[in-house]
Amino acid sequence: MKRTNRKLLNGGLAAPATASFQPYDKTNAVKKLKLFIAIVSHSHQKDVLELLKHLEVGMSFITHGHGTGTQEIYEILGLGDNRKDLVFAVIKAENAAKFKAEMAALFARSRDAKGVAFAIDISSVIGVSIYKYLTNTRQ
Amino acid sequence: MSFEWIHKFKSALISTLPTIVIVLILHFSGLARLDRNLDLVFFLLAALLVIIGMGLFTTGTDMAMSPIGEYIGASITSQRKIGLVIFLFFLLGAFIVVAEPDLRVLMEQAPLGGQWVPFISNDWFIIICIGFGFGAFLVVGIIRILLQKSLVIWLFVFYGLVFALALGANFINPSFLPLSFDAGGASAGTITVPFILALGIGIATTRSGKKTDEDSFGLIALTSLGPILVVMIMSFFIDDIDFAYVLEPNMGFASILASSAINVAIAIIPITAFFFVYQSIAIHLPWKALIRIIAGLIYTYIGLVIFLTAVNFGFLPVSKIVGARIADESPWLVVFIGAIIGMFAVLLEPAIHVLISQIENITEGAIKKYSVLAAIAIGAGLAMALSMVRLLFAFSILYYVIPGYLIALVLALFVPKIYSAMAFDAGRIASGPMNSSFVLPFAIGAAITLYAGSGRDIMTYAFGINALVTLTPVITIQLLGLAAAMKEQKRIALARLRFIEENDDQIIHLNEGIA
Repeated sequence: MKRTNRKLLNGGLAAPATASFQPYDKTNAVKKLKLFIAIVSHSHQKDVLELLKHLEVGMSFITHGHGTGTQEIYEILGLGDNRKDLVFAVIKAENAAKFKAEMAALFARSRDAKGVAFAIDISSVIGVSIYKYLTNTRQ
Repeated sequence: MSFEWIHKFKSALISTLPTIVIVLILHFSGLARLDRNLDLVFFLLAALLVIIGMGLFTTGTDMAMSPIGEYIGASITSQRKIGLVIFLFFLLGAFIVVAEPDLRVLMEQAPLGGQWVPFISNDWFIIICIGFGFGAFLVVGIIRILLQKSLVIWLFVFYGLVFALALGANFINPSFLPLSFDAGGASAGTITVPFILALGIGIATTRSGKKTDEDSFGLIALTSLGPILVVMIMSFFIDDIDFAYVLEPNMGFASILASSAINVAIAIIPITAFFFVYQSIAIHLPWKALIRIIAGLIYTYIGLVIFLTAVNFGFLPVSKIVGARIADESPWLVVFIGAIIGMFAVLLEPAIHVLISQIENITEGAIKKYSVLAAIAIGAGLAMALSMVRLLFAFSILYYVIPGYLIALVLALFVPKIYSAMAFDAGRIASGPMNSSFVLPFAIGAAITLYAGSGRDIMTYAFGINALVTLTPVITIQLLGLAAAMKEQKRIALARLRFIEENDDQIIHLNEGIA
């Protein structure tokens, strides 16, 4: 497996030295991307992931953390749970409105379903294959 | 703010429902009608208590047993003196298994007449010896993690040893054979499992490296080989005992409650004491964390007492009656219904849920909870079906166990390591209190009807379900892993084909494109 990868990489890493080289973004219509970030309770993480899958997101990752809310007595008695999950995902800008609406619907579901969600513009991507992967436009 | 404990009770409810439904169907269809409607009411009440007990227990282990294990595992491993590390882990292993309620229930059932050593009764003597074996193999398992050796190879070596001894024991002292396998299963019980699992995770986190995920599992699989080996070695020195099965009268609610309350207290106190002494010397947790652990211990205690009482009071007698009635209908129906009961009863094992949630946490959802649960359930159903076939034809358990483990170990060579480690753990865990109080009574009930007047020994043929339940999930989970690995291979091959584009190495400016 390693051997094949290296071979492919060598092919890929060859510098675009020829005069005929045209930057990808000058020759193709590029789709804009956004970094979508959601901070939700650990128990709602699944709903967010479900949403990402539904809207065909190629790349996402999760990090875990604890909220700093002061409901200590619940915490100590094991009744509450302040674990939070940060979900990062790269989405297409054209889907951003849909994401916003879906997240709003998720947070409106109940009083306990609170969270933060926002999206940041991504200005550039390194690698044509990465770009195609993120925009789901591979042939 | 979210309420994680509600999910715990919900999953407890979901796991209990199939068992309730089966018993209701069997009752109302007339296949296995319970004598009195009152029995049915008791069963339903017990089911409700089982749900409450299991919900409390899993909440409690999350808050107390698992953190204790992780803290202790990480802290002891980071001690510099290797001798001290080995001594502490040995002590810990011996402590926790001697307290395990499953093991004591098993030994109380085994009629070990006479007295081999002065001052100590025979069942306590065996339990103490098992403590040594368990402690020693806990050290072995931890050394494996620290030295980064292959779990599969170590399992090969030690299972080889077990089966070499088993063949010897089968020759010299055959009646000890089922007991030794059962001792392995029982030592991985409701208290030891959450603790050892967490201990493995704690140790794995202290040594950084990419293999942490697979290191977290597999500790139980190695550790529970200790008791098997110890009991087998003992069988070479002890005269053959004629294990005769005595039907125990059903106890009243109050006495069951009292005995569970005492048993669970004995189980929890030593490890709690060890933790509090050790933490005050070496860890120094903040008081809030300590209070949380104490609250968790209280939940664990109450939950386990409720669970064990309900299961022994409500489930055990019902299961025995159902087994006897089904056997009356048709022997082959025993195989079929037995498989279904085995399949759903395993979902009620409290420790299984602890393992499943650990799997979900460690693999970050990459290994699906329900696919593992399904693999375990199918394995347990298969085990029960095979056991019932054995019950009908009365042959030695070794015909199943030796080829079975050979398949399991050979599979382990091909399956991703995390699946094999998980599989061997799950196998040990699958034989818990539900196995001994719901599945086994069904088999005993059936055996009493089938063997009436035939002179066959119930102990030899009805027991041994434990050994099979620990084996079949190992195979089914590894098959699941094999399927996952093949899918992954295909995916990687596909991805590799089109990973790098022409002139790939360039920056694409998203905001300046011609779009």
